[in-house]
Amino acid sequence: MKKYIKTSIQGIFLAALAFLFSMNMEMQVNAKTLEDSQNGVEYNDYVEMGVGYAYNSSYGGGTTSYIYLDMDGDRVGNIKSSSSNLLVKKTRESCFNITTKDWETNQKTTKENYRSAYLSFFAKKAGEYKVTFDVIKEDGNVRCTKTITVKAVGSHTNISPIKSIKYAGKDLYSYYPYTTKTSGKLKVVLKKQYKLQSIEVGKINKSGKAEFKKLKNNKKISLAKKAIYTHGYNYGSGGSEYTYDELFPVTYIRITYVNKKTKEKDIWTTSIYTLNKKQSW
Amino acid sequence: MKQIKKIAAAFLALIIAFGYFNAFAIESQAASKTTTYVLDTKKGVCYPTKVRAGIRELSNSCSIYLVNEGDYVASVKSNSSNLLTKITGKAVYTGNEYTYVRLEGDKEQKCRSRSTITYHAKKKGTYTLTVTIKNAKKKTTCKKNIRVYAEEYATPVKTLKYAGKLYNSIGTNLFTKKSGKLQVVMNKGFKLQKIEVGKYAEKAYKEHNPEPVYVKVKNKTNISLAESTKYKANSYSSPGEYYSYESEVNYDYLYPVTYVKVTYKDMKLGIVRSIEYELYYKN
Repeated sequence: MKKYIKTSIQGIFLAALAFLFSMNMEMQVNAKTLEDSQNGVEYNDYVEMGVGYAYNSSYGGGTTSYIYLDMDGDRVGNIKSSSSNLLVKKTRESCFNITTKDWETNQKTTKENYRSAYLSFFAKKAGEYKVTFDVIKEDGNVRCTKTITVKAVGSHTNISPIKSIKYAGKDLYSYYPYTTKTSGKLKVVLKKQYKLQSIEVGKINKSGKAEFKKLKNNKKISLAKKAIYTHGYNYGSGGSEYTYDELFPVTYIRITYVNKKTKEKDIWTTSIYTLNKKQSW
Repeated sequence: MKQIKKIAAAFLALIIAFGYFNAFAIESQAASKTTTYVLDTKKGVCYPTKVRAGIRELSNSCSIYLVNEGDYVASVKSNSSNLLTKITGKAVYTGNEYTYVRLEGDKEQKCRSRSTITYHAKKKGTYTLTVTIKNAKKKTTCKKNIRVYAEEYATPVKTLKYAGKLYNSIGTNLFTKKSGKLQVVMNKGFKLQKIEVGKYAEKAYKEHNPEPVYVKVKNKTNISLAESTKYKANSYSSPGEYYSYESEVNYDYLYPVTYVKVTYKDMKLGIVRSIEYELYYKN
């Protein structure tokens, strides 16, 4: 059942991520979890986030890493960021006291001081940062030191690197809100302070995830003509199945570029939609 | 098993995230109608009688909830070529799993399936969608009409400004002024009813869940942002015969948060709703 609390908290995090992700693809929120069972630590060791934006206030007003500690009395401390451009802070700490009663023997067990914490990050600039924290035992000694990689991308800087982006000979935005022209040349010209590193085109696959493929500049692309995907869950006692068939299939265009002066690498993403009126069911 | 728990937890979390933390909550007011969703008890269909569409928006959608197992939304038709529509999603629940729809008076209806209808209006106007429901034997059980009011924008708040700076949901929500004028401008067809400013008290919980304390303010008047980042909450407590746990949660935010809750009346749909914004103070 202790596991359940843990999964609930993870769940909140996952749900929040899912919600943010569904709200805006360009938020680029992503996280990976690592489990160290020997030291009783489970945490998000990789976090991807946007620059300059505070959100998701339930966890402290920034993109977060969740840390769960398995050992009685352990706590998270000595949090350090590799750069002054990445702010980090322990924004939430929970302390649990758990009592369980064995239903056969009626014996009670009480476990105290289980802790979990959230670290919140706020990036002033795009880049890859390292954050370290210690797991401190009840007696004050350090049990172990862990590292989190935080990647901040510039989706929120509101500074576009684009000088012009043309699809089938016309400005990409002239096809807004959607287009019936499903293929054409894509030509990207960046502002002179930026160097183009890669262009990727993303379409939704059968499981509902965006799959990106690299593409050369000034080459023909074909937009997604349909977006049909499905996923399901089975809980044993019941289940659910979700099927989608979008009216406006999306194609993502992801541009990776480097600032020639600062050498900062950044990502800029945009979307273009087609129309699909055909009902697949 | 771990996977199932994680998924179950995610759903629970969604409920908590939406219901308790109020981060994106749309709240109801007792006196006025809050939803256009109705239940046809005889046919087992929950659907909205009226919806809105913004002519620039591609993601306007509503859901049809079906109470009976095997029933499905067979088709959706529009009365005009200026209103594009399609069934874009289906969720079917079996066994002990259900989907729930909230009806007037906070009533909840348990349903077996949910279909998403997406619609896009090319021009402003009032349109009608006709939804056909069939049963497991592919026999039409009923047809339902949904009125679509297409305007320039379907969103209620046109702009929210604090201390002369525009709030932008994906760009700017960090403000450097301790106090300043709060100004809310509504889009056409929405009437501002109330603005409330919420801040966390030191002990920020009510029945175990963190909850800000709200104060009503007038539009275009000065407000001050919360300056404290620290508060305590008692977010979980589950006493049971075989298992119980208690917890204390200490928060220390990166930036202090101030909630701005805007309550408005949607003049076309005849419903009252609230939308909440989070303003962070960066000193």
